[in-house]
Amino acid sequence: MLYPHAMTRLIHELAKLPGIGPKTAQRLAFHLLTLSESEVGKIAEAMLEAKHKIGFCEICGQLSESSVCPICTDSNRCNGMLCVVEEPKDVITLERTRVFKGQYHVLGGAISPLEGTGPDDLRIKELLSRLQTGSFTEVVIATDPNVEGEATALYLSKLIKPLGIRVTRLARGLPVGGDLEYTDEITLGKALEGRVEF
Amino acid sequence: MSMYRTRALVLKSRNLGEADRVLLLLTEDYGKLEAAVKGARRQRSRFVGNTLPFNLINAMFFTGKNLDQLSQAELIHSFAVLREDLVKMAYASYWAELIGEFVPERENVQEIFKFLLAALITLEKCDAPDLLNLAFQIRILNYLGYQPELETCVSCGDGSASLVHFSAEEGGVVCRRCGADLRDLIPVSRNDLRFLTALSTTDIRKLNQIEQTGVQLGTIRAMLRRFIEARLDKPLKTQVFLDSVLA
Repeated sequence: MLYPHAMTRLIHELAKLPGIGPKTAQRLAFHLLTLSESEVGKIAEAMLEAKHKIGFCEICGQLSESSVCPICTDSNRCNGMLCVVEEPKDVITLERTRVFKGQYHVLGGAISPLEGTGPDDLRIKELLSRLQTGSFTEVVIATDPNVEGEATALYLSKLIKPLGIRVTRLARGLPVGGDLEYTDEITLGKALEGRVEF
Repeated sequence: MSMYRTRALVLKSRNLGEADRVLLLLTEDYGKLEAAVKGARRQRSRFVGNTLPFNLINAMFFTGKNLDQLSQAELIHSFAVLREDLVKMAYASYWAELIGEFVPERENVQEIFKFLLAALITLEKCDAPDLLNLAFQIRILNYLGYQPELETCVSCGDGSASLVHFSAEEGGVVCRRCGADLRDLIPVSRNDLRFLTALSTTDIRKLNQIEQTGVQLGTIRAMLRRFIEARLDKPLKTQVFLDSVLA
């Protein structure tokens, strides 16, 4: 069935978003049509505002509305610990734990040999220069526990250890509230290796 | 919806949608195939660790309209060492890409499955994987019928002592006379050619026993690299990573 031009255009544009197929795009377009003009205006405005105002922190690479993000300017945070993550959203996830009080460094991805993403495509040079000029005593590598994340962690630890800085990696193991029976063998093996004393 | 079971090696994994993955697998009975894994990225998914690249699994699939779906994955061997050692990971990734590029989908390649499995087991315990990698490359080419000609000139068929160059474009060694009109030749010696032949026939656990006197390993590496690139018409992405790790 042929939609009016404006509707076809809207569906086409929505379908460009990640995870949105033609059917979902169609459903979203129909939903937008049911909203009032002011509600649709707010969505469009929010998208444009985010696009115009949000950039990356010059120091850590996190999303920020100013040249330096609030975490990097916060004098109450510990300057001795640096947590290295793949993406800006990982900083938010870690901040939600309220456990880590140090600084962050966003790499902008992970080394992926099979996708052709190498160390030069990530913010590794910036990381090394921060470590050389800063007063960090520990780097926590919080990359994903998959092949790409492991490759990145191994590569970084090879570069950082000669600087005399302690390099640690997030522990791997059982999820809280999980069920031992349904845990895969690799995770359970890692949980056994990383067991801690009561 | 039909179902099938087979042993499989995970070659590659890519994200699909919010929480799913698509795996590229080399299976023992059904060749190379892609399969979707629902919810594989969720922390509590039973697939989360079992579907990591290089794992050997007992897999059960359901046939799908576009993509088959992995419904069970029982871990046989994790090859964890290959994910915890940067150099070994680089070699294993290179092999996975080589197979991903060269092996056609859904063709019976049981020999290649068994060879890849043997090579990964050997790589796990190997201290110097360079020779193993060279043997892997030449044997995969041989299995797939792409073997370079190493006995006689690919242009004129001359088998005399004048075989002094290797042409990746032509697909093998060329004599002095035929090489005069060709570009991008790699100078080779008889010892290099003998060594390359031995790499393709010797037990991969005993590659160190091959006579290396007068052999230029750099020449062998360049021959295979250029030969593979010429067949694929592009360089392998993992080669860049391998180079940077070995540098």
